[in-house]
Amino acid sequence: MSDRLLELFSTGLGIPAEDLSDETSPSNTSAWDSLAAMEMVTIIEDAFGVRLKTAEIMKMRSIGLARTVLRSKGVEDI
Amino acid sequence: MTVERFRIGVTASFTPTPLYRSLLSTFVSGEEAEVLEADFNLVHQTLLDPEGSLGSAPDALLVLWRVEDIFTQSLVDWVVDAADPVGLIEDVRQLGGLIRQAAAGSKAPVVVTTPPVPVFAWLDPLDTRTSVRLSVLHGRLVEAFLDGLDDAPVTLVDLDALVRSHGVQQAYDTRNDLMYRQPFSSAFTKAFGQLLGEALNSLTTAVPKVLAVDADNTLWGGIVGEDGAEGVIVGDSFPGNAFRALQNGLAYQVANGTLLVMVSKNNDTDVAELFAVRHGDLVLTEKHFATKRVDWNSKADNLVGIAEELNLGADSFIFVDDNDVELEEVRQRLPGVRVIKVTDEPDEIAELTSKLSAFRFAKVSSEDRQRTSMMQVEVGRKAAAAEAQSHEDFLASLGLTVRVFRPQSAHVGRVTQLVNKTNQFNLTTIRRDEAEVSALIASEDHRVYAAEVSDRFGGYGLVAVAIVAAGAQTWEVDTFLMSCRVLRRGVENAVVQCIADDAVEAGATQLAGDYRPTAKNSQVATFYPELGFTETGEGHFEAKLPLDLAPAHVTIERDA
Repeated sequence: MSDRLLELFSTGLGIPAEDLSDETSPSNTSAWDSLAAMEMVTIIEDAFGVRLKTAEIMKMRSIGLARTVLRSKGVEDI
Repeated sequence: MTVERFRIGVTASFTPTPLYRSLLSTFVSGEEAEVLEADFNLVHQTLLDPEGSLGSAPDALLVLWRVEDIFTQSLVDWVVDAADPVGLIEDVRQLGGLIRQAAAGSKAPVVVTTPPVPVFAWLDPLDTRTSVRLSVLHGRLVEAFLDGLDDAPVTLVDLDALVRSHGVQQAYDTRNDLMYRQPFSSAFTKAFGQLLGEALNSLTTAVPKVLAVDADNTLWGGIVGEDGAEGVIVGDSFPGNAFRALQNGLAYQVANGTLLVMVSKNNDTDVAELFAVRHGDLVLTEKHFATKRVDWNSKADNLVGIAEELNLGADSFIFVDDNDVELEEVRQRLPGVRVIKVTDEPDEIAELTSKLSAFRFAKVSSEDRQRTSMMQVEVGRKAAAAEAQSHEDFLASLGLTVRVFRPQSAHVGRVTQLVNKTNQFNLTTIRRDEAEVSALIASEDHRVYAAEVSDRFGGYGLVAVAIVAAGAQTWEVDTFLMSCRVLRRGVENAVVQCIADDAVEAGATQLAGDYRPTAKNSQVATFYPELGFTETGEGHFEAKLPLDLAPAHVTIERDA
């Protein structure tokens, strides 16, 4: 099963997609620092054609939460 | 094997990290490079001690800054309270001086931005109470900065020009600025990184020295040998204004030290006449050209000759032409030459010289770079000489097909057009109207031939016509002409071969033809002798049949 969001985080964090899950977060992943978070915003916005508000960015404290935010914005193919 | 990594030191007044992806993918040594980033917004400290601030000595140093990041309060006071800007201007001059010192104290080349017009999230950029003052202040700040740099050998990247080319609305992103101190949009960030990568590339790449340009359908619209000096399209009004724009762009490059050379398949007298009678419409004069090759030789051969004459390598050349075959021959035979195609879209023609990005960083040539490029030139010249393919090899790669056929009524229009329009490759220049051409096609004692030509780049259509009086013993070529677009590719040999074959089949023993000189057709003066014909009278040539002229690289097709 290909998971688009895991692939994007894999690119942004430089970690193989199979080592990522919805539980992956800054607290259990050292590569997810503030610069990586900034990079992920650009990657996600470009990939899904959305504009994230600051509050939405702040909510994305794990890959699962990022998925929830994108669903709430009507993004289907995550 | 250890690979020495190229260390790019970065100090910036904003978060530079998002620039690295496009910067490293543009930079030719990007894969072997690592970035050493100084702490955020410590530009002054980094310049005073680059090695200490970056952790080790960089191989190149990028200094990226904006006025509103480093001198925030002075600028806000000036905007809000109209405070005296003298102190701010002096601070910016000192920053320039600091960069000059850092550049002088290190072997590493320095790439530095000139600042964009300041923006604030809270300030309407169209508020004229401030916007006009801000334009003036920005000019003074840039001037002071350059004054501080004092011609230090740094590479300038004009960040303001980049913002202008994107537009303020597209360039900035307030959310990113507030959250990450990263003031730019992601699209702008990508372009900014690319431009920095290009700036790094310019440190090791020689700037092109020669612009070699075609003439017909490049400097002007149309073909001077066919349309005449008065007929070609160039001037103040559409669409001639597109060619004038292109000529302005070339004149600008000449004024900035680039050598302009003309490489054109033409009679040089036609081109000279055009420059004489159309000087009011042209921007360029003959004086703009360092040298010219206006003849019927292969352009690749001519470029090799010019390179030898100027003692420059192929990698110093940019070749500009509208013709795919000319471009491809140069591409194949002189791989170092950069080639640029002129399209037939007026807007693209007008903008062509604005896309010569190889000249972007040309003005900041340091002594070092000149030495490097002189060495590259010498190496490149030898390599080009060793690699240059022959014209024959190139022809063989073209996959040329010539279809020779007897025209029908549907072809009368095009055949008549060629008969009346072709000046240069035309042995007798006998003009005829459609009725006369139709009569000859129907005639028992004449044969009219037409040829269509194609190669791997596509078809050229009906480009050659021959009219032959078919006598019992001797076939007399009355008319033989061809469009300049297919010159020097053996098409003429293929057509004569077909005529000779038909003559043999009809029982004739001899083929004959005339050359009648005109002001335009000197290039075919030796046409018959080169095919092995003997001159038996003034301009009259004969050959015994059969003939064996068909070139190996041409596929001949005959109608069933």
